[in-house]
Amino acid sequence: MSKLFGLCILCFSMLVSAESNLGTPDRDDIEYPDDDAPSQQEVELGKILFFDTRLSINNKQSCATCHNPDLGFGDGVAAGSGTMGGPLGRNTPHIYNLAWSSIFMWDGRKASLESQALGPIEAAGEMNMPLDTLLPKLNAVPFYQQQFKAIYGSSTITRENLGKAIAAFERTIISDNSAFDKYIAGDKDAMSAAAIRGLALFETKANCVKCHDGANFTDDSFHNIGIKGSDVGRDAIMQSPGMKGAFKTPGLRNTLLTSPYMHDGSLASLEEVIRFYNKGGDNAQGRSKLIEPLQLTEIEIQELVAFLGALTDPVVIERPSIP
Amino acid sequence: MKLNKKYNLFHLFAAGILFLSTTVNADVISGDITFAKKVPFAGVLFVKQSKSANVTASMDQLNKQFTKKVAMGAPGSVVVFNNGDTFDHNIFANDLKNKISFDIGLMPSGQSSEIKMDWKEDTMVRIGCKIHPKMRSYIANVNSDYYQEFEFQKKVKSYPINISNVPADQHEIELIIPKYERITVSLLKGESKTVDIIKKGKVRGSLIVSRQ
Repeated sequence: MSKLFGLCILCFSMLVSAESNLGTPDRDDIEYPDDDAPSQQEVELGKILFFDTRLSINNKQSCATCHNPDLGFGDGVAAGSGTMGGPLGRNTPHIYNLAWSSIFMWDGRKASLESQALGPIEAAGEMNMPLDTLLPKLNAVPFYQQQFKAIYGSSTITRENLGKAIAAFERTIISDNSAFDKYIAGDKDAMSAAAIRGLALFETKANCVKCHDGANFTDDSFHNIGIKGSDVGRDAIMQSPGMKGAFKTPGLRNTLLTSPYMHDGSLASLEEVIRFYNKGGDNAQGRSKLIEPLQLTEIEIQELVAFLGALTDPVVIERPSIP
Repeated sequence: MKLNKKYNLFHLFAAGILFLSTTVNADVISGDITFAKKVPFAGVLFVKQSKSANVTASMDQLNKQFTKKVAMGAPGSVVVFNNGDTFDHNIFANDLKNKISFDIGLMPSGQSSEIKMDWKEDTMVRIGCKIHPKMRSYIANVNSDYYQEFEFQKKVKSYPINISNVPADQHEIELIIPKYERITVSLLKGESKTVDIIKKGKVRGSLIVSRQ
């Protein structure tokens, strides 16, 4: 009887997975700017730059300071600090599986990973490093001169090539072998019974797939989920009805590692996140009609947490030595 | 209903003449578009003509996607957007290069909207949704009644060409693929030509066209 029940759950979850396009991301679907995947040398260069504190005005921060690989490529706090010590305006988003993303930053102000990579470097509140100052600084490093010459044909480091190199590395931060991936590939023991029930809830009663759909559990779209606050989010970038207080749906791969949650980092755990949605969000102005009370039971909340945990597949990055 | 026998014979004769003239004067363009590695998103191949074309475009939305990758419409006609989705959409275009910009505003589920294609002829403009940035498609503003739309698939490298009933006096064929170099080929009956498909100075594939 219990086997039959399990089979029913399995068949059911497989069926609804097809409708919401949940699955394992296809590396052949990555759209590289120049069509071809970057060379390993370019990826390695981008990785070194990602960890190089020269990219901040006072040599105190690198990209990895906020996007710390050991903290789920976040910084573990609600809102971190910039290189000058001032507070950042939003929670640091994780950078898993951005290779498949079509728009970047919480408010979608960057249209490519290349331009995203340069954004925090230049932002006064973040790394505070004007590129006009940074490029000569990097050009003075023989290692970088040699590498840029070998990869891009010119030893003079340009804004464009700096963005390309960092983005080339960021596209390799891929998580695609979680328990969920093994489960949908046919390993029925890969996920616990609670996680399997959580998957079914994720796609039905909890309504998560209305936004967290596709292979990376994000629609790359903008929604006002009802977090209280004065941050207008997407509306500051592109005015459109419903965009005030709307932020990009974060992908959920490795979400267990990326606390705290929401654009303001106001929720500390996945359980808090699910309880937030269960009550229909805060009573904030402009809340999307997709957000409504879910009537989840306590057990169902735990099952959803179990499923989200099954999306974990850490990406281990060995820190490079900086030239 | 009983028709006059003389009337029927006359129309049969006229239809025969029309069929014969169409058959005699109309060509078929066939061939193949093949990509070496990466396959683009969409494209259109069309026969250029001087008289105004009679093609209208429509574009629907479903499951947070456009239902087509490309829709052809004649210059000056309207393109109709239908939201058949359960989600709201806000379709827009912002093509700085071709100076094409429109925003149809919030379009709730079940609603339609129209935009007049009063922009530069023979362009493909990318459209998107302000709410769902992953959505993309193209509207081709092309003056041609003889065309083929291509919805390229990532894992399919080769696409057959078949455009029929092409008037014999129209020889210019054009291929537009966004972000690729535009290709124009002059093709007479009995001819066959092969042209490289180029993007950013690199050969990415080939266009083979024949005319019979």
